[in-house]
Amino acid sequence: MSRILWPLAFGLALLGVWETLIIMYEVPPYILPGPSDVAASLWNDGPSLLKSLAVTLQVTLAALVLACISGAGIAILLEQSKTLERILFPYAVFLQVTPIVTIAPFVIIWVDSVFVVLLILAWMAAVFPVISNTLLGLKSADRNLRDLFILYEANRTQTLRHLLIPSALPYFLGGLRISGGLALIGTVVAEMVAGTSGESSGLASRLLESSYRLELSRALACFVLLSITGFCIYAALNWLSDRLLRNWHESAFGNP
Amino acid sequence: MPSDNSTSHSLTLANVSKTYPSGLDALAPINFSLYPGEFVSLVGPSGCGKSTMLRLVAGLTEPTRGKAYLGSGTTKIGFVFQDPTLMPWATVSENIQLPLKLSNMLEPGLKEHVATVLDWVGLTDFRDVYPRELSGGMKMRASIARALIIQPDLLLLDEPFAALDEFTRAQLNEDLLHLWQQEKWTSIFVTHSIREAVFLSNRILVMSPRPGRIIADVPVRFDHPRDPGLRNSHAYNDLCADIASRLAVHMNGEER
Repeated sequence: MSRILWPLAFGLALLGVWETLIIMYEVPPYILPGPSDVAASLWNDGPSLLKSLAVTLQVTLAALVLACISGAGIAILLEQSKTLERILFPYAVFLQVTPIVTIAPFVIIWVDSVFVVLLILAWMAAVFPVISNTLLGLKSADRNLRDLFILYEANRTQTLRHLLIPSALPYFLGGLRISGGLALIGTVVAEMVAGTSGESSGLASRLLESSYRLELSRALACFVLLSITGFCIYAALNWLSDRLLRNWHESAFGNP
Repeated sequence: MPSDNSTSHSLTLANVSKTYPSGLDALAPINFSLYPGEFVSLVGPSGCGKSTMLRLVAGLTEPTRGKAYLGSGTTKIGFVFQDPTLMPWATVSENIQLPLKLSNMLEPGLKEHVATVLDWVGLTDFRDVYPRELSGGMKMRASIARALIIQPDLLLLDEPFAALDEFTRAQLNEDLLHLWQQEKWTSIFVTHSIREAVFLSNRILVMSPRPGRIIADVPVRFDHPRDPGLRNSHAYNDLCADIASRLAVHMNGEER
C-alpha cells in the first residue's frame, strides 16, 4: 500500500508548493498556471481533449502493433541467413539513428493521408528495439538444445516454432516495452511536425496550438494526459510480459 | 552416417580422428567396436576428447579422418548432455515428448507411453511442473526420460551426473543401471569418475590426455543385477585402483 501512498503524497505536496508559490508571487496564468488552473482546464476541455487523445492513441497503438509484427518478422528473416543480416541490418540501424523530424517533411509530401503519415513516422521510431532485441533472442537459444534439435532432425519450421521463438520471447517483450514509449514519442513528434490543427487533430497538436495562444493551462492539461497515457502503455506492456513469462522466466518471478 | 551391415556390431569407429580448424588435435586415431547391449564407459582426464567422440558418434560433428559406422540395428540415438538442457518454457511432460514431436511420432498411445517413461524415472507426480521447480537430480531424470522416450538403440551420455551431489549420483547410477537391464540399449557413458564407470559398465575404455587415444580396454565382469553393496567389495575397489593406476601412468608421462 505504501508503495502507492508515498509517491502519491510526494506528488500532492509538490503540487501544493507550486500552487502556493503561484498565489504568493501572483504569477499570471499565461506565464505559469497553477495546478488548480490545469485541473479546471482538464475538467472544462475534458471531452474535446479526450477526443484528441483518442486520435493520438489510435496512431500510437497502430504503430506499436505494426512495429511488433514487422519487427519480429524482420528479425526472423534476418536470423535465417548471416549474409542477409550483414546486408540489411545496417539499414535497420539507420532507421534508428536518423531523427524522425528530418524524415517527416518528405513523408508529408509523399503521403496524402495524415493518419498514414503519422503512422509511418511513429512506426519508424518504434520498430528498431523490437528488431534488435528479437534478433538477439533468436541467437541466444541454448547451444545444447540446438544440438538436440539437430540430433532429432527437426526441420526449420520446427526449430523456429519450438526452440527459437520461445527462446526469443523474453527479449522480444523487453524490446516491445521500449517500443511502447517510443511509439508515443514518435506520434507526438510527428503530430507536431505535421502541424495539424483543430479538434479532430491529436493531443500533441492541441498542446502546440494552445501554447501558441498562451493558453498554458490547456497545454499543460494535454501534457498531463500524454504523460498518463505513456505510463499506462508501459504498465500494460509490463503486465503482458509478466503474464506471458510467469511460468518459466526469471524476469517474471518476484513480482507480487 | 553410413551403416555397416557386414558385422553384428552396434557401432564401429575406424581410425577416427579429429583436428579442430585451429590446429588443435582433439582425438588421435581411434578404433573400437561396440556389441549390441553393451554398457561402455569412457574415462579419461578432462579435455581428452571424450565429449568430442560422443558428438562424432551422434553425427553432431564430422571426423577429420576415419569413419564412424552405425550397425544395421542402430537407428535411433539418444543423447544426454552434461546439463539437463530442458526447455524452461515447457512442462516436464512436454519436454519429454519433444523427440517424438520432432520426428512426427505423436502416435495414439502417446499418453500411456509418456506415463510409462515418467514412471521409469520416478517423475510421475511432476509431469505438469516446469523445470525451474525441479531439483538438479530431478532435472537430470527428466533429461534421461527424454532420451529414453524414443526407445533408443544407442544411448550417449556425456558426464550426465557430474554436477550432482554424491547421494543423488549413486541413486541415479542404480536407477540407470536398472533401466538399462530392462531395456537393453547400447550405452556409451562418458565420465571422469572411475568408481561410477566401474559400477555401471561391462567395459571401460581408458583414454590418454589430449590428443585422446584409447590406452586400455578393460572388461568389467560383475554380475547383474548389481546392488549398491558392490561398491564396498574388494574386487570392485581393486578394479578401480587398477584403472586409476593405468590413467596415472599416462598423466605423469604427460607432465614430465
